[in-house]
Amino acid sequence: MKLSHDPWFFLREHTHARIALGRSGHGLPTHEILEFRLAHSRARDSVWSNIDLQRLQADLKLESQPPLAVSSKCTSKKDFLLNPNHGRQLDQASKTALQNVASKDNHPDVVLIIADGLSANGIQVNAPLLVEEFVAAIKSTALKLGPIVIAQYARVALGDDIAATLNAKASIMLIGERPGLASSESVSVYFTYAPSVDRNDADRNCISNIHSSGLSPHAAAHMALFLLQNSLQKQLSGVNLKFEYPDVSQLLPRSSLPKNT
Amino acid sequence: MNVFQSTIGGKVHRFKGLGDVLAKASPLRSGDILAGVAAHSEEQRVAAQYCLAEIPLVEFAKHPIIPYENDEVTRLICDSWDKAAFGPISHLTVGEFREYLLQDSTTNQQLSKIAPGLFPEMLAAVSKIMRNQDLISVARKVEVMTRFRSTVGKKGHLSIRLQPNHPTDDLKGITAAIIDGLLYGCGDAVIGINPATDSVGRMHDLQILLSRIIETLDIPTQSCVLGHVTNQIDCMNKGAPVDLVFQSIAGTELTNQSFGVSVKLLREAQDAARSLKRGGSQVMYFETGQGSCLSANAHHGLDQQTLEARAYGLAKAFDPFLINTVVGFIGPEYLYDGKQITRAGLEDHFCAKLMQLPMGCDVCYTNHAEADQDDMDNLMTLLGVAGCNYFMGVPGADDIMLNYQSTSFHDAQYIRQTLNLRASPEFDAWLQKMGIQDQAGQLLPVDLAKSKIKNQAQGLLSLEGS
Repeated sequence: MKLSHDPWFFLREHTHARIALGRSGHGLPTHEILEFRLAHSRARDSVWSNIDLQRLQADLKLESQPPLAVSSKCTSKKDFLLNPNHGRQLDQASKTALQNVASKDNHPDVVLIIADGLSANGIQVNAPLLVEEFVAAIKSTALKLGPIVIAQYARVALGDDIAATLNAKASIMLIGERPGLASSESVSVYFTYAPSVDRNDADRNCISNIHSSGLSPHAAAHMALFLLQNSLQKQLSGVNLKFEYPDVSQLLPRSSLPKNT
Repeated sequence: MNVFQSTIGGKVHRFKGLGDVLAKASPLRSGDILAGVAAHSEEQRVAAQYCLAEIPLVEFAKHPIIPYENDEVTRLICDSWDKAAFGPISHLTVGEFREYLLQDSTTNQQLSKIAPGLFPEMLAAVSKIMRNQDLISVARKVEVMTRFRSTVGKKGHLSIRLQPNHPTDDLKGITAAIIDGLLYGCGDAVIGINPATDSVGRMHDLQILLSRIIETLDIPTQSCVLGHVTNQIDCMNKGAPVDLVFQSIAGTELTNQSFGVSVKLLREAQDAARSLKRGGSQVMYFETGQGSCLSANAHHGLDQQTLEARAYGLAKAFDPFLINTVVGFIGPEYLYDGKQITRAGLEDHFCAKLMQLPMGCDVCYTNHAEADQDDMDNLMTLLGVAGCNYFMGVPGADDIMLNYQSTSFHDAQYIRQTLNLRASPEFDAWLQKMGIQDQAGQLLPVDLAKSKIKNQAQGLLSLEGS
């Protein structure tokens, strides 16, 4: 039988799961097959996308503080996917470049790292606004923002290597999440106090699901600043940092689960 | 046997030990390369397979690949080994064991008799020299039936776990997905939710929701909320209606430690669930998957498929109602593409079935793997032919909480219709009673006005506190 309009359609008011799709025999209606393929194609394109450095630098509008571009030890996107450890360490040229700008006696409170992770597309779309908001917001505090770094082929832990090399007290990494079908451009913020290469996931805090129909970059920027202030005050981060965001109901999406390690 | 080597065309290939032979004999997969244990060339892989084929099965019992003193999974496997059951095959090498398994005279009856005499590593070993068709045809001989409120695993039947996950554990969202799944004949293995948070309170709410749905619609099935086992024990202590207790497990003690579980804790959970007497004594539900030991940095230099088989040794001690591999979930650094996922799924199903486990499979992939829904169709069809006990039923194959793709309600209908398989007998009768399918197992046209579940469904969706 063919049933391209499902009489149970009313069930869909309760969830955005793919229910009451209709059927033709036991197969999906053609428009559902194509819709699924479109979502998957976008997710796949996001995984294999690379940061367009020139465009990102232009979009970031940081004339007074041009961002530093670095790379992990990965030699390609495939290497990045197959060898997570390569994506957690800086390549030698990047390490040297960061060492050259690091200052031994002038420690920034925080460095901001923009990393491709599993969705460079997500970074390209969401980073400019988030960075702009964060940079503007931190200016109203006494906190000192260090260099802004753009990292290619980066896993979350690469932020430790970067921030430790720059002698920063904390790191904020904006990184592309593993794309889902619902959003291929979702990004997360990972926060680490006293970053060093022996940090692990339990030492981090995460704000996830930042995308056009999730948490707004504006909200995420203010949450990140709040996280930074709390963390510097209590001198820790991760599972032991207990706090509540202000106006959490307005800022947080209903789901904020970390998806990218 | 202390020397592990093979000579091919005058060239001698030497291996460092039993574990090294197993790893190098493994069909190519990214996780073994990542672990640094894979063969260095295609020829070396086959050389290792030649070597492996000559190794007597008894070697695996004499020399556990992870020492008895170091690992409680090894101890469990060794202590429960039935030497008498091993008798009929004790003289065989790995290569001869493959041929024994394939013989027409080796039936389900023989296979169930020798099962208590097998080490998981013997099955891992033989699987490495088997082709995909061998893995299918031997597994197909085995029938492993389990029973709670429904019977799962009977020949000619195929069950589905209904997986109605929601990113905020929204009770109405979950209810709506369950209703849709039931309308497609899914849910006879279990209705099982992966909760979005680790909140014990929310888990309790979900357990009550599932039990209310099952009771209201009088469905011959069982429920499970797949949070950490300690939370499930907490909930049972608070009187929650828990049918099945879930836990992810792996093949080494250290990996299980990283999951926060031990044999003792699993036993405690099993005792608690059995004491509730809600449907039977088979109360455990396990999930596994190749690569978890490497991911936990607890792989002892072994290959991921051998370690996966050891997880089945652990599972066997708990007489589970359900167990499935979540085969493509772990990502491309362990199983890179559709080919590797397919091979792993067939190996996992074979090894578990030969241990007389009620094996199902979450046929799945993530968006950073080289795979798509066509690969899922292929693996699901292959495993359907191999007699897999159950698959997942995820709305549109798209899990909106876990963000990966599995198999759908429609896929469940596809595989049952194509391979002439029916739902679990009790559930099949319920589907007919509710006017969802006809006697031949075909879905009936939808007529909302005459629907036997519409009113109850709307009632469930409008409940206070949902």
